[in-house]
This record gives sequence, C-alpha cells and structure tokens, in this order.
Amino acid sequence: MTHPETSKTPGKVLVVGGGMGGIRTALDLAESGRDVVLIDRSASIGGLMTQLDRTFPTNNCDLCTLSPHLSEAGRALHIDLRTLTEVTAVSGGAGSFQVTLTTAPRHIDLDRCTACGDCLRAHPECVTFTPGLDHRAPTCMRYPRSIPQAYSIDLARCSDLEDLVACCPLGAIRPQEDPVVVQETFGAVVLSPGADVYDPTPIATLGYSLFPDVVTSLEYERILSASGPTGGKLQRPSDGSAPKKVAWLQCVGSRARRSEHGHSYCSSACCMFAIKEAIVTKERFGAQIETTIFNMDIRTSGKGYEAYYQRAKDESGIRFVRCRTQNLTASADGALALRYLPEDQDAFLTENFDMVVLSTGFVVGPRLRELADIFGVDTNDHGFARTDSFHPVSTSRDGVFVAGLFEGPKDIPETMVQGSAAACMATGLVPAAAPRPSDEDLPPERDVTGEPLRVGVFVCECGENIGGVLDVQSLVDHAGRLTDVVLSENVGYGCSAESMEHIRATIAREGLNRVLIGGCSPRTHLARFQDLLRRAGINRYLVDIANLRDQDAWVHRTSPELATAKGRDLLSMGVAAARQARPLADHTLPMSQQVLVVGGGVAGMSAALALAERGLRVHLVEREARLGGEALKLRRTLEGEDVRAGVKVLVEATEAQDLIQVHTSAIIVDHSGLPGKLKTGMQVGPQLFYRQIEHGATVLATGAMANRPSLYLLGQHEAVSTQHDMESLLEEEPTQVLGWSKVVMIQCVGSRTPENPDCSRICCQSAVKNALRILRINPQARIWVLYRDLRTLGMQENAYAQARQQGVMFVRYDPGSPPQVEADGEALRVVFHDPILGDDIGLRADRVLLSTGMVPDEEAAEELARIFRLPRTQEGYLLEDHRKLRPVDLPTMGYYVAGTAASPKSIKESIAQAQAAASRVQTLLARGAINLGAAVARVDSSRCAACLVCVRACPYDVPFINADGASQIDPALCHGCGVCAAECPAKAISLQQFDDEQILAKLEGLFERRTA
Amino acid sequence: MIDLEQAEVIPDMWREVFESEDIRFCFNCGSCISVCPASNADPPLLIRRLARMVLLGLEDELLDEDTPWSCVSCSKCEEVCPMGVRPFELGLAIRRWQVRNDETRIPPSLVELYKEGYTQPVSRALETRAAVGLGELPTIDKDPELLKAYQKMLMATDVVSNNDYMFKG
Repeated sequence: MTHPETSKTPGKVLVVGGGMGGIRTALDLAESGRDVVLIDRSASIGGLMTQLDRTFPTNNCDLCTLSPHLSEAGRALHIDLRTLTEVTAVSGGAGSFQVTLTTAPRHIDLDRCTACGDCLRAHPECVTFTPGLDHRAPTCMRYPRSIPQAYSIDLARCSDLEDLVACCPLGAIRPQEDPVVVQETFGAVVLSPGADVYDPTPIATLGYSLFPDVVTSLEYERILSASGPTGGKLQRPSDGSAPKKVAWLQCVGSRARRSEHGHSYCSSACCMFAIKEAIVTKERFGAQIETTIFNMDIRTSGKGYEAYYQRAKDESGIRFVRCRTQNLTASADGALALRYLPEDQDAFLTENFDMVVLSTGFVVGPRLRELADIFGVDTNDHGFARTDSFHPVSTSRDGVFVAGLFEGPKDIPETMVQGSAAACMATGLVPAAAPRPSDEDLPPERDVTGEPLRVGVFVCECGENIGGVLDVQSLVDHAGRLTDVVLSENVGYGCSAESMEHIRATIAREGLNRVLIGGCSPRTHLARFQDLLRRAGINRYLVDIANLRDQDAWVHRTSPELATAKGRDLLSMGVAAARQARPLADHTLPMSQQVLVVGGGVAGMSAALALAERGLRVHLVEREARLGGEALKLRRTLEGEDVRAGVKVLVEATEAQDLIQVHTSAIIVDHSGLPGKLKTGMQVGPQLFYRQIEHGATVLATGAMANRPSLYLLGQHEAVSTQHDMESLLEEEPTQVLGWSKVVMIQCVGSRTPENPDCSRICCQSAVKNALRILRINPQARIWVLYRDLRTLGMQENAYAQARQQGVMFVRYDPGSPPQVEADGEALRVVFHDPILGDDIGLRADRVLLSTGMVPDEEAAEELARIFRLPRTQEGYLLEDHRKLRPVDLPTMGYYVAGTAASPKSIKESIAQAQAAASRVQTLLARGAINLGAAVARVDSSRCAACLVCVRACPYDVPFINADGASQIDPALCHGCGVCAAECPAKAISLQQFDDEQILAKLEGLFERRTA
Repeated sequence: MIDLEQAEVIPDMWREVFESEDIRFCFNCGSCISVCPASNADPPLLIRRLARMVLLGLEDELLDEDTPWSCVSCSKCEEVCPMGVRPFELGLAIRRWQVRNDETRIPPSLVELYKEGYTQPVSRALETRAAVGLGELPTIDKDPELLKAYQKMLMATDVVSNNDYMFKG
C-alpha cells in the first residue's frame, strides 16, 4: 500500500455543507470506510435542491430522487451528521486540521423526536413545517422527508414556553439548550457549502420589491412544489388567481459589468431551470398557459440539454424571445406589461403577463466569504474558491477540497461529480477506519423453517398522526384475531429508540417468526425494521409494513370511521403477506481488487493515478502507441494554463507509478464475468498478443473525437480550418497569424444539428480563447465570431467580455440562413446576416475557423459498448445510470465513466469526473464482497418454455437461454425490477421478496372477510 | 448588403466617436431599446444598432443616420444597461461626431423645430392623448403669430440662416 504518509491512526474527514454535493462526498467517504463528520448550518440536510419542485431534464420530483440519498446519509454508520453547526476556527494543516465547530441549539432532543407534529399544531408560530415563499424565513423541518426527521424550535418566536414544552408527548423539547462548541481533528476537509441566490431588489426596473407577482425562480419553484406555500397549486401571490401568461426574464443579476446589475459571470444553470419551470407549468397546470422566456442566449450545453431545449420549443410550445427587456410596468388590469423588441424583428411589442419570474443566479455572500477566510483558501474576484484545470477540486490550501457551487456556478450533475472527486482527494489523506464492530454483535440468525407461524403485530399510534384519526385499539384487537397472530399491541411511536428495543425484546421473548408493523411508509422505514429483526435474531426479510399513516390516516383525515375500516383491511393484507414471507439470503460475491481503466487520455490517466495513489492496482489500456489522447493536440486552456506541460506531468506520473500497468497499442476484444469478478481480454502490440486480466471494477475513459464535417469548404480550401487546428498553429507559426487582417469564426459547425443534436460545450470558449490568442499575436486583426447562442458558462463569461473589449465582433446567425463561405483566391468571401444592423455583411476573410466540437468515436465506442454491454445515448456517448444524481456510474454496477466518453467537456471537467470515478470504484471495492440484495428474479426451469419473452423484456439484457433450454437469470446481474416476472406467460419467473404468492395472499387477506 | 471591402470603413472609428471603450462591451441585449421612449419614433431610435455601426466603423451609414437626434435625453438606457456602455452618452457623442464630420449637416430635429415648434414626432402621441381624453397638445404652431416670431428668432442663428433653403417652403 502506498498511502501518502499521514498520521498512522485513521482520521476523519470534515464535510462542510449538507447539500447534494456534500451528501455525495459524505456517502462516498463512508462507503469507502472513512469516518465523516457532515455539518450543515440549517436544521436539516439537503440544501438548495430540496426546495426545487422538479429537476431537469427528467422533470422528476426532486424529493423522490433525493430522499433515498438522504436516508442513506442518515443511516450510514460512518457519518456523524451535525445540523445547525458551523465552523468557527481552523488551525493545523493537511493530515491534521484542528477545527472548532459550533452547534446552535435545536431545542429538540433528536433521540426522542419522532416528527409527530404535535408541537407544530400547538405552536405554529415557532415551529413551522412548510417553508413559506420566502426561502430565508426560519423554517424548521424544511421538507416532508427531511433528515434528521425532527423539528427545531425558534425560541425567540415562542409565545408560551411552558405550554410548548408540555405539548410534546415524548418530552423532547429542551428550552434550556446552549450552543455547543467542540474542537476536533480532521485529516482533510471538503467544502461544499453551496452558494447564495442573487437578490434582485437592487435592480429597480424589474419591480421585484414593487409587484407581488414578480417572483424569483426559486420562489416560483416553491409555488410549484407540493410541499410549498400553495400546496402545489399555481397561484399568483397578489390575488391567488391562476396565471394564464407567465414570463421568465433570464440573466437577472448575471452577465453584467455594472455592479448595480449584479455580477459579471454566467450562473450556468438558469437557462435550464427556466425551461424546466415553463415545461412543468404547462404539463401540470394546462397547456393553454402561455410561457415566454426572454433571453440573450440559451445556454443548454449539458448532456442531453439541447434536445430538452428543442423539445420545449417544438413540442411544449414554449416561446423564446431574444431580448433582455427591462421595461416592466403594471397595467391597469393588474397584469404586468413587458415591452420588448425581438432581435430578429423590427417592431416593438407590448404584452401583458400575469406573472414574471426573474431567473436569478448564484452569488457568494458574506457568510461564504467568511468561511473562505476561516479556512484561508484563495478565492477569485467573485468569492468562489480558486481551483485549476489539472486540480479541479483542490483549493489553494493543502488538504482542503471543494465541491459544488462554492467552486463556481454549476448544475446538479457537475456538483455530484465534484462531490465524488472531493471524496477521492480526501481519501488520500485519511486511511480507511477499522471495520465497525456492530456486525459482530449480531446474534446468530434463527432458522425459522418448519416452525409453526407466530405472527406479531405492532401498531404505531405516532401521536396524532395515526392515533388522531384511526381507532388504534380497535385495529390492535382486529389484528389479534387474524390467523396465526399470537400477539398484537399498540407500541406508540414504533420507530422511537424505546419502542424499537421493546419490539426487539418481544420478538425474542415470544419466539415470533413473522412481524407486521402497522406504521408509516416502508420507503422510509422498512430498512430500519429489517435491521431490527436481524438484531432480534431472525431473518431480516420476515417483516412487512402496513402503511397506516401515509396511505390512510394522512389522506382520510376527515373520515375517521372509514379510515379505521381501511386500516383493518391494510392490517389483514399485511398479516396475509407476512405469513407468506420467507427468509431470504442476500447474494454476495467476493471481489477482485484490481481496476481496469480503458483509455489513456487525460481522464484515464487521472483516474488510474487517483486509484493507484490510494493503493489499488490498475491496468490502463490505451489503443494508441502513447498515452495522452486528444489533449496532446491542445496547448492552452481559456485561463491560459499550459496543457502540454500538464499532460506531460500526468504521463510521467502514470509511467512512474508502480501500481499502474500500462498497456499501449492494446485493443479490448472480450469481456466476461460478474461485477467484482470480471475478466477482460485484449490484443496487445503489433503481434496482437492475447492477454487477459482480472478486475473488480471498470472505468471507461475512452474519449471522443474532434469533429471534422465537410462544411464551409473544410478540407477543400487551405484558409479554412478548425479551432482544434489552431492550437499548435498559434504557438508555432505566429508569423502566419501576423498576415491575417480579417478572421471569421463560425460556431456550431456540425453540432446542434439533426445528425449531432447536442451542443459540444467547449467550442464557444475555444473560439473566445483563440480570438484572444490571435489578437495577442496580431492586435490589428479584425475578428468576427458568428454564433447561434454564445455559451460561455460561469467565469468563461468574463473572457467573452474581454474578447468584446478587445474588438472581437460577435454576430448571431440563424441556422435557417447560415453564413455563406466561398473561395476568393487565397482568401475567402464570407457573407452573413447581422440581425442588429438588419442587413447582410460581406467581407474578405484571410482565415475561416470552424468550431466543430466533438463527436463520439463511433467505431471504437460502438465496439466497446457491445463488448462491455453498456447502453449509449442517441448520439453515441455512454449513458449513465441517472443523468442528474449518478453522472459517473453506468447502469451496470461496477462500471464508471470519465471524461468525454460521457459527453463533450473541458479538461477540468474530465479530470474531476476521473477523480469521481476513482472514488466510486473505491466505494465498490471497499465492500470486499458484493451484496446483491435479495430481490432478484428466479426461474423455475421446469415451467420455462424458452419463449424468450423475458429475454426481450429485460431492460438490462440479463436473461438468456442456457444449454438446458431454459431461461437463466444471473442474480449478480439482476436489478430486481420484476419486468420479467410480470411478463412470463408460464409464471416460471418469480421475484424474490415480491413473489406472486405474497401478493395474492395480500389480496386474499383483503377479500376473505368480505366473501365470508 | 454592406460590403466591408467596398464601403467606407474605419476600423477604429469607435475611438473617434466615443471617448471610452465602454461601447465595446455591448452584447446587444436589448435593455436600452426596451426602455427607450424614442424607440417609439418613426423611424425608431435603436441605440444598440448605432453602437454596432460605430463598432463596425461604417462611416457613411452612420453619417446618414438621423435617429440619434430623436433622443429625448431621459437617460433610462444609461440606467438599465448592464454592460455600462453608457448608451445615452453614446447618442450625444454620435450627434457631435456627425456635426464634426459634416459641416452641412442639419439635424432633422432642427427642421422640425423650425416648422412645428417641437423636435419630436408626435403623431402617435396625438391619438393616445385623444384616446385617454387629454386635450390637444399645446404646441407653438397653434398660434401662427407666435410661430412666426419664433422662426424669425431661429433664422437669426448661423446654422439656420446659412441653410435657409432647408427651412423655407
């Protein structure tokens, strides 16, 4: 093991900020065996994302995608979660930081609070559950599934302290609490505190403080959200009416040179969230609602985002108007009037809207500036933590890493990537902790097969939640009369520590072998009760939950008698299902601790190095004869960094690293095995020698290719070249550049087209970069950039402003009438339409540079995807498991993607994703063995007719027909989705844990009383 | 079509017109024209279009432009411009540049002033006034005697008397 020399005792990692990025970091660290203290200054973790209604591009509800992550964070053994906590002082250095943490009082005992809500009902003034429109208001339980699942009290707002304390049935309210200050030592720190949202009040013309129906995008999210102030109804703040016309104004507070208008950079995420809000508005509240997005450029350059934008335009009927209008007035009928001139038209329009949404972006406020000061990390002019292209998550202070918005404006997938990357960097300083003893404390598991059924039913009252609506005693009596039930009782708050212990002891004492909990949702609580059963000495799959709270008491609050009747039915069904429950074994497999990294470019080398430096053996396979990939052709980043020097450092480090075995001129030819135990064969060198390696995880860093479409005389005229070609020419042949008096750059050549729908993401910054480089050599050159939407995200926007300042002309073109380029001797004649001038412009250019972007390497990518059985997007890039929340994991466990193999991205983004992939690999291999869960499909081969229905239906291509002519499903590959079980016409397939007998038993449990 | 190889193009014209590089930051966002009252004029004053002409160095086209003279000096554009281009100052600078570069140039608003007694085209405003019940616009041309005296006064200035052919008839 070659861990960098740090303290011999395992340390801890401090993660500051429990938003999406911080949760990802903490989970990755915990899964790779590191102890983590995760702090957040609010009362619950989740950050900004929990306030959103839905996320792009899937338009899913965030709470559903986020909750499992949050409960994971709440459950993980290695994570010490401390809310209401801030860092107040730091000393020491990498490997040993002394950090002072100050925790504000919650005034609620977390061990006792069950989030029953009694205090909220008695004292809504100081305990609020639903966040108001104003996201800055002191909210306590910010969203319905918050972690920790507990309220907090704002004592200053409390009118009757004595009564508040008395109203809690569990005595959890603690008015006397004081702030707690502790000093602890951490090996590494990850800063993921997020950012603040721009407050548009200073831009008086936009009327934010004047008109109630002018709201920020975050407030609009709250209005759309089911957990928001309107309960998910679209209502105007002024009069509660449903708006018929809604306008979004983009770039409010962003892309401004004057501080009165905000900050100079682009906030990067606002275009997508405005489009999402407009789509959701139409989808949920009626397609007839008119939605208009006023913008300067639409910046949808993430993976799949361009298609989302086009769908919004063509299918959802969202109108996009190019004008940053600031003419907003109130019209007589209470509407808001906007006056504007679309860029491509010549007549002004004045139009009334019922609501105006200001797309406000991200800023670093005083609180975060103070945090940066406390840690002594360098920040840029705007307060964001400074990083560089080759160290994308490392701050200026050794041992302090950064993820998410605090590193610069970005959206959720990039935040998730940085969260994992920061975890990877932190693991270099903090060795894994010793395994937790808790596993060994478990009593032996009793074999219940053959025992007569002994069902125990435990019904939760959950304060008013269930007990206030249902007649719990009658439910307990009813359950007690059901077949095989030997014990039925009311356990009050079933999930409180006290009741859990009572249930555990009862199971052991009474020799119960099936358990039914009448309580809340299995989604949040099943795992807790499964763990409880295991602690009680019986198999974890012998428990079921009847959802009396979420699906009964909460939804039928107004008809308690009918609700109690339904409760009886739910318990009957639950007991029937519990009687059918069988002990199941989780499938496990030992793992190989070697890693295969495919692709020896910047991403592949970065991933290999990160893994090897953390003690894992890596096979790095590159099809070319040398390492370096596409980056070998690059010279400078937009920020001016020397790419060649950076790549050289990577190549030398990779070749010097003992734990990395580099296979160049190697082509992968076969691949088999199960995740954790894989075998990959390749042919190496000119003689094509065959070699096979065994590995536990696979990182795909196979890159993409520079695009070279035959457009605008590329390849036919010497003066036409790509931006890519400029990289070396600008460094090596400056005299050629001195001869250019006019240069025209054309953007989106071969990108954002029907053949290659996505935006190539890097071309706008390349054009700006090369324009500035040309001007540095030849300040007299006149440069035109012909673009569709200028997409300089984040701080790149400053370079766009710099290019304009130096005289580069930016002219928009319409893809319907693209620029015309014709040969004119050694030069080129270029004609294009200037919408601002309202006229065509013709000129003689000495050089035409095409921004051609990237395309997947079709041949190699198709072959590799086939060999590794990995799905690809329509464009041909590898498709990740979840675009938003799992941007590094591929759909099959144990496969990860890094760099441009996933989508076009910069060097910085590629390296971040490579480090993230290394982190994900560590989390997998740290398990030692794979637990595949128990919910897998099983085939009864005696009933199988080999009809191939399962083979066709499986979304993961797992079933196949084996030598005996029957379907075979590998439990290690099965995702447990149940599609095959549902489709099998012979009922030969059953899904363990959810088999037909159990579901039918539930139905019988429901109907037997009625038919009897 | 404007052929930059044929037209009179002065690459650094923006320096001649405007004293600062603020103009080069313009990214055509449309803020200025969205709030500009003179964008209601006919033809409209489109300050970002003028900025583009200055930046391209289109000398002839810019000299021919009458719209800078429609500006009513409200300075709203100055307030809303996120890029600090200072469009209002730019409009005034263009007027000065036009006069510097064309001694015979008579601003159209001066002719309006002579003939009607006011500088801004008001035909659209008249309808709006009537629609909301406001009385007739109290302009000087309602009193022929006063207008005559006013014109006599203007004729006493050099710029009008030297070009009197433009004002008579």
